[in-house]
Amino acid sequence: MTLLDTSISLSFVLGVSFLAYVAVIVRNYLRARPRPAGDPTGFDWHFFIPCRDEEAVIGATLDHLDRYFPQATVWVVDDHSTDGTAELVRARERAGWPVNLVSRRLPEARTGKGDALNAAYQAMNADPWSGTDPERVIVCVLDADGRPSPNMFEVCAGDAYFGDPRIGAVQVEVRMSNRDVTTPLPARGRIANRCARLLARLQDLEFRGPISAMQITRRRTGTVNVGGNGQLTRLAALDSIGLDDGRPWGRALLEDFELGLRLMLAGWRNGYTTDAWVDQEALWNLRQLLTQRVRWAQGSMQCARYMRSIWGSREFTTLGFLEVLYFMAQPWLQLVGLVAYLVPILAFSYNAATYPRFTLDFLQHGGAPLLLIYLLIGVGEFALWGPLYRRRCEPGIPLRAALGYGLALALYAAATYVVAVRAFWRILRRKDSWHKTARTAPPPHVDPIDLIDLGDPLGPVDLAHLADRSAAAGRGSY
Amino acid sequence: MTTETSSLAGPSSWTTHRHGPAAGRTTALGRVFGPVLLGTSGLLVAGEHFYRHQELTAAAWLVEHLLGLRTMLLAGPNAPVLYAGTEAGLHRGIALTAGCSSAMLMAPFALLTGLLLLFSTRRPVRLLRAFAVAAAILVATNLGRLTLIVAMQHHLGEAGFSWAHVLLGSVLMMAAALAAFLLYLRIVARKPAHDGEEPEQ
Repeated sequence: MTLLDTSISLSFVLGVSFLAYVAVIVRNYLRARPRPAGDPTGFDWHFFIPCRDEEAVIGATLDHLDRYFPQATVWVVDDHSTDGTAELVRARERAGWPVNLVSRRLPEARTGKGDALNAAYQAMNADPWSGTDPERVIVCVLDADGRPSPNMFEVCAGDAYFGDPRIGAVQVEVRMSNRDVTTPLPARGRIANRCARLLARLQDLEFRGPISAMQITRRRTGTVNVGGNGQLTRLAALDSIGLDDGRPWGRALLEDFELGLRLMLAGWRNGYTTDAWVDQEALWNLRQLLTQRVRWAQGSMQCARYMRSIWGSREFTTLGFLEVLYFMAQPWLQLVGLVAYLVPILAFSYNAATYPRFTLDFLQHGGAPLLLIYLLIGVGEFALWGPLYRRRCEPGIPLRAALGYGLALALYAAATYVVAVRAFWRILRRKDSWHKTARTAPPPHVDPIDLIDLGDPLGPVDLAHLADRSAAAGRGSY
Repeated sequence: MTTETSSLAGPSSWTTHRHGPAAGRTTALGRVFGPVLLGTSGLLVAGEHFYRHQELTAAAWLVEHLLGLRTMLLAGPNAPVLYAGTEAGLHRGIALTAGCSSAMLMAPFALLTGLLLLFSTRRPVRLLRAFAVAAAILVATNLGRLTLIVAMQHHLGEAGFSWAHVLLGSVLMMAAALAAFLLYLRIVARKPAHDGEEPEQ
């Protein structure tokens, strides 16, 4: 069997299995219905907010939480910030807000988001209130720029979520707060602004479309996972995996995904809801976005070590195992797919150049419509998310724009191949430390133009360089 | 519920079992058929040339009995070739390459089923059934496709052959593979009746 034969067969299998996967998640996405809310007063609610140089956003976030969630206690982890983050938190603490500052200083600080969250967990457990029944205590991990929807506690207290004692964690839908910003880069031209707007919209579409559909499907397979923002966990669940060493969050690059896996392995079920959500900033810079995604892909590849535990665990159904296997294999499949898809394309191009009459004959006798069908399916399985997004999430956008977003998503998805290659390359070079993703929002007292100009040059190379320096100094980062 | 403190504690008390990773839940059926399916997957890849010959032999039988045509099967060095026609003569031969065989489509199903059988599961019969259904769809469709190609070649000549081979056959196999995947998942996902697996949400 030749390389071409193998590639054709592999690309066919990969293509059809992806198409089947899309068909399944779209079906479940369209069938999802809101679930009844519950009474949040039966629970104690806490927010964990890891911060590192977040003065640009943390004040507004605390104000938001005070306004909509006055009953909650907030634990802000200052991971050795060099800006005014700690002062902003202390000011509110002094004013009597239910806010606690957990300070981490170098050399112990900046060792990863998981460690920062573990510090908050340990501080909370050391607090005198901690005699409360851990079954009734819910911890919500929030990014420093996170804005939860005001109904989040009611939704999560419902019988489908923490009202069910088997549920260990709930992930709420993630939305992009800056999806409607018309001029994200005031100092730049029209094209740069259009690209930035489109990028923000595509991230919103991605989270509320395909990612949401995957999570909704996981409700059936029992493998819902949690993200790093809008992640709510029952304290009893955290205790069940972390009370011994005080470290429920691991040190994987995807510490949130790792937490979800560990909870499932411990026998907890995770929930996902679109009835409540958290708004976060979309990235306006493609380089930053790719860097973030490389980190995610690498983190997913790192979690492959859990496959052995999942393999032998009774907590996963057959379908659940299959779903986790497929998800965790994705970056690896993309690497394989890159070769499998490219070889037939290159062979066809070579034949077209070398034997034009043969190629023309092929195209005239069914080849052209076949290639068109392949193209329609290949693009269509991404483009359909545009109209679906409009239908379920943003009915106000024009249909033409929705179709355009869908087509753009196909290009956006193609970038994942670059991401998979780079993540694999980093694994080969044993590089696993990262600089945290830069904020796009300006600090209150800084000219936004200056801040954006400072942030833009941080591309993958620069970030990797910074991470390398940080690792060399014995400090990881997130 | 009492909060467990071991690293694998959790709400397993609801399900009245305690266990950790590698709990050894593979059933006897799984221990037998898991390796068999994994071996089948390997054989389908390693012995795909032999498989193709058998597949084309079956196609020749169908062509003879369904279309009433005379056939001749040659074992070429790279691919078996099927000639079909009437007493007056045979048409151009159809070579069955690896990319046109159902072997490479069944191999992933066999691999996956073998893994899942070894993974566990208290539903081995269901997995075997899912594999059988998927394999049957793929084999039957590919045989149907080959027969269709011969039929169109016989009735419409070279153009019929080209359109059936390039367009109709490809679309048919794509639809069949999609149906096989979806049916496979549906059979595996069906809510358990009496095999003891946890009910799904």
